Amino acid sequence: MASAVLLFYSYLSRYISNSLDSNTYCLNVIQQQGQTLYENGKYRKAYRVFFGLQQLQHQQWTNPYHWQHQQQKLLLYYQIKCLIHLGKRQEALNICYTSVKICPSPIWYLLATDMYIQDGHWDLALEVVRIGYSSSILGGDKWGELMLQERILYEGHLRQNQYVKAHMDLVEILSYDIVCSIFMLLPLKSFVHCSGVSRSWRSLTLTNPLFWQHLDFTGTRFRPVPSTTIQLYLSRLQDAPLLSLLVHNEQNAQDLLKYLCQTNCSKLFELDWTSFQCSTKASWPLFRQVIFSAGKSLTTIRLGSGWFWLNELIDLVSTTTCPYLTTLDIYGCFTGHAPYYHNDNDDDTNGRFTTMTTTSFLTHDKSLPPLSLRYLGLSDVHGLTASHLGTILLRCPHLAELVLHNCPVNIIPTIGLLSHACPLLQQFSYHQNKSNQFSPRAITTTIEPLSHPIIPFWIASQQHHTLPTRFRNGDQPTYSNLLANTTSSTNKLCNDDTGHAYWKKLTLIQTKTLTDDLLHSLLSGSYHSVQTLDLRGNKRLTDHSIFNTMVHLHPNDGVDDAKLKNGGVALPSLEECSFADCLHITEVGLCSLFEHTPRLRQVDLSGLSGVTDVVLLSMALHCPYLSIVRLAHCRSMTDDGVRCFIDTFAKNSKKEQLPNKDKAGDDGGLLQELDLTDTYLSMECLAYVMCHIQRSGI
Amino acid sequence: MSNVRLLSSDNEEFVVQKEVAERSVLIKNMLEDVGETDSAIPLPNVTAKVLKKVIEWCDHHSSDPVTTDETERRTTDIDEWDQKFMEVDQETLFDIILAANYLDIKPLLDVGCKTVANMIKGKTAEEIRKIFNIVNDFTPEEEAQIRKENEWAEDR
Repeated sequence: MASAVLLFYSYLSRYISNSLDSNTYCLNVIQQQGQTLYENGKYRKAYRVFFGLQQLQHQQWTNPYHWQHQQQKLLLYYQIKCLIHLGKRQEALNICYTSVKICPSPIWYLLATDMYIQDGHWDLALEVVRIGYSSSILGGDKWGELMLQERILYEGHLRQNQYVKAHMDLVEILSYDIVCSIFMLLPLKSFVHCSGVSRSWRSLTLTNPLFWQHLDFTGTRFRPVPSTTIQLYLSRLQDAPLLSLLVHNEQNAQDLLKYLCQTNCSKLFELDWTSFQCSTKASWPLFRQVIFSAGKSLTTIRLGSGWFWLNELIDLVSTTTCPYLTTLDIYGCFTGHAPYYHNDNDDDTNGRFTTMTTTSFLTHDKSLPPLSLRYLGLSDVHGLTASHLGTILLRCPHLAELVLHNCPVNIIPTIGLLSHACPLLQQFSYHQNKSNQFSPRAITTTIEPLSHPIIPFWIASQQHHTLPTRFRNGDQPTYSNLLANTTSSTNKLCNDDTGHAYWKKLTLIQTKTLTDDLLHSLLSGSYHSVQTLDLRGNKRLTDHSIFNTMVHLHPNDGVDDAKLKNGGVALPSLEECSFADCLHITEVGLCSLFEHTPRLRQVDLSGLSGVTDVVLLSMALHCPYLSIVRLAHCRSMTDDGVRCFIDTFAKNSKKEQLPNKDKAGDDGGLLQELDLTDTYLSMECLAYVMCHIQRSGI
Repeated sequence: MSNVRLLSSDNEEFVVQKEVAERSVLIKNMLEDVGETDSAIPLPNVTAKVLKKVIEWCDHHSSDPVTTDETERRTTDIDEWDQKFMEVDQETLFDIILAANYLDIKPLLDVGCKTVANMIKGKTAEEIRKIFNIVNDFTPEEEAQIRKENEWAEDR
């Protein structure tokens, strides 16, 4: 039933680049197939087709001419009809309500009225008819019918019960405690409206400070909240402690900081201030004051908009002031220069990597108070260098998740540091970082004198047998040696005392430098635990990355334990994986990948020419839990291959899940989303696929 | 399994399984105090109409585990069955909430409060007045002032 709750959508489209005439024609063909299904009483399948078509249409909404209004109405109409036949009345009603907005017509009101009457809700039916009547659709096809309906309903309704709407003020009827607990459930944005309902509501909401302890001003769509309003709400606390404050888009942050200094912040645990407008000089002392008074209770800080220096902030929130701070999320700020790396030289990013591995650097850093962070997010941090990141990471021994988005920091020294500094790190996301060009020469020149290579056996064996020729000569091997050197030694160290945490989630998107070896050195030892692997757009990855995952299963490796434990499967925990636009991954690699990922749920292979019918079949046979598959721009698949995939998958997954779940339905297994955008498939095939994808549990 | 007899305020008797009736902490405590008894338990604050609804709910949820975690109870959504169950007119809804409070059935009280909160959520003051048929007793000046202080929350 879990799947029933979620909303799934699937967009299938084709011929995006083709002329629009053929596009509309295709949609018409599929629509006709849907109608045939509906007439034959196959409501479930018909619904899926119509739903799918509607999603398609949304994609092309930029050109409303190409899909007639009339046809859209038809699609919605059939969806509602199918849902009524399937007994999903609530869903049908929801579609009615959205349809009213998308393409206004009395027909939706009539459909909704019919449903209400069938359920015996005369009053609701009457209300719907009246809304339809009064909403400005004059004339039109069914307007007269609507008028008639209203009259009939009104009389029927009167006969049913002498209904007079009673005065139902919940503040008067329910007890104080109950009213309070209802108000406590409301988000601030809704709650403040309650304070303007009536005098009794107002006095109730203003006198109880408990209502004003969580001030969440987010979700105002870029409209700033006046600082006087915040001050007013803060004053309603009447010295009760503020618990959380979330303000986005604040124009006059300095005033807010002043108010906050006068507020009781001793229990404040969450502070979320993105896009603040204020000057560093005047605000920083105030901010320090707030942090000092709230420090002991703070667990989460989110800050943005460049009015502070990163290094000063890091120093401020260390364990001496904020012993329980676990989440720190920074958007858009400058790094600043701290005294302990005054000899920074921005051209020398890679050179400093060497200093980081030296012991003098480590001992020097231990003098600084550590941070208790478990999550660290750095987005748009300007001037962040690898060495600076290194010093921060070395101070966060408990870090479990690290996110680096849009920071000009090189990935290579970062990777070398991760297991070194943060042994508990399980999730790492690295995305859209501008300066991720990596110059091998810089590394080799600075590294060579220093490195005394302890080459682990797998690197050695790769160099002899399996390393692709491209990397055999030149700088790359030396470089991977270095990396292996640092990671293997630190892994050992961690295993000895704390027990190394294994990777669970790794996201490395569009890094120009990530190679097979690098990935392997990062993941080795964690293949059995990794759950999410997002390697979108890493153009240098090859099949080798996939083969690497199986290296530790090889009997010569002597890691027989792992093999036995995981039933001979290389990636037993992997649930999500994306190799989209990794152009060098081929059919062979993908086939062997799926043999080793029995728990895979989501897979994204967009843009891979290696996705052939064989790959699809392998996926269908080996991954029974798949629910989302993205195959956009995969042009090597054929109709038969896709059909075969759907059929085999349905058979196979049903077999797997039969013991504990009989709800898999008559088709499609649990497949919920299949993206086939821009592929060379025929219309019949697309319609067939549409029939077999679950939506909203239907 | 033994049965318990419950007497509504309008003197209608309901025979309920002990396990179902004990979803109510009030009844549970009473039964513990009284011990085995044949006489009906009077519930002077609950009418037959509402008691019937409450028993229906207790019967459906008789095997639910008891969650003590406050935040979990607050944040979980109303499940489908409960949503349907709560599709009643406002008067009955408030009566169910009051009965749940009196009988001390925390999970039912939670569902009731969440249902009311969902009715209020995302509505303007005027819409809330309309739903509960409340008279606006502010002066125009007061109303203007309140509108100004809550202006940020107006979405449309």
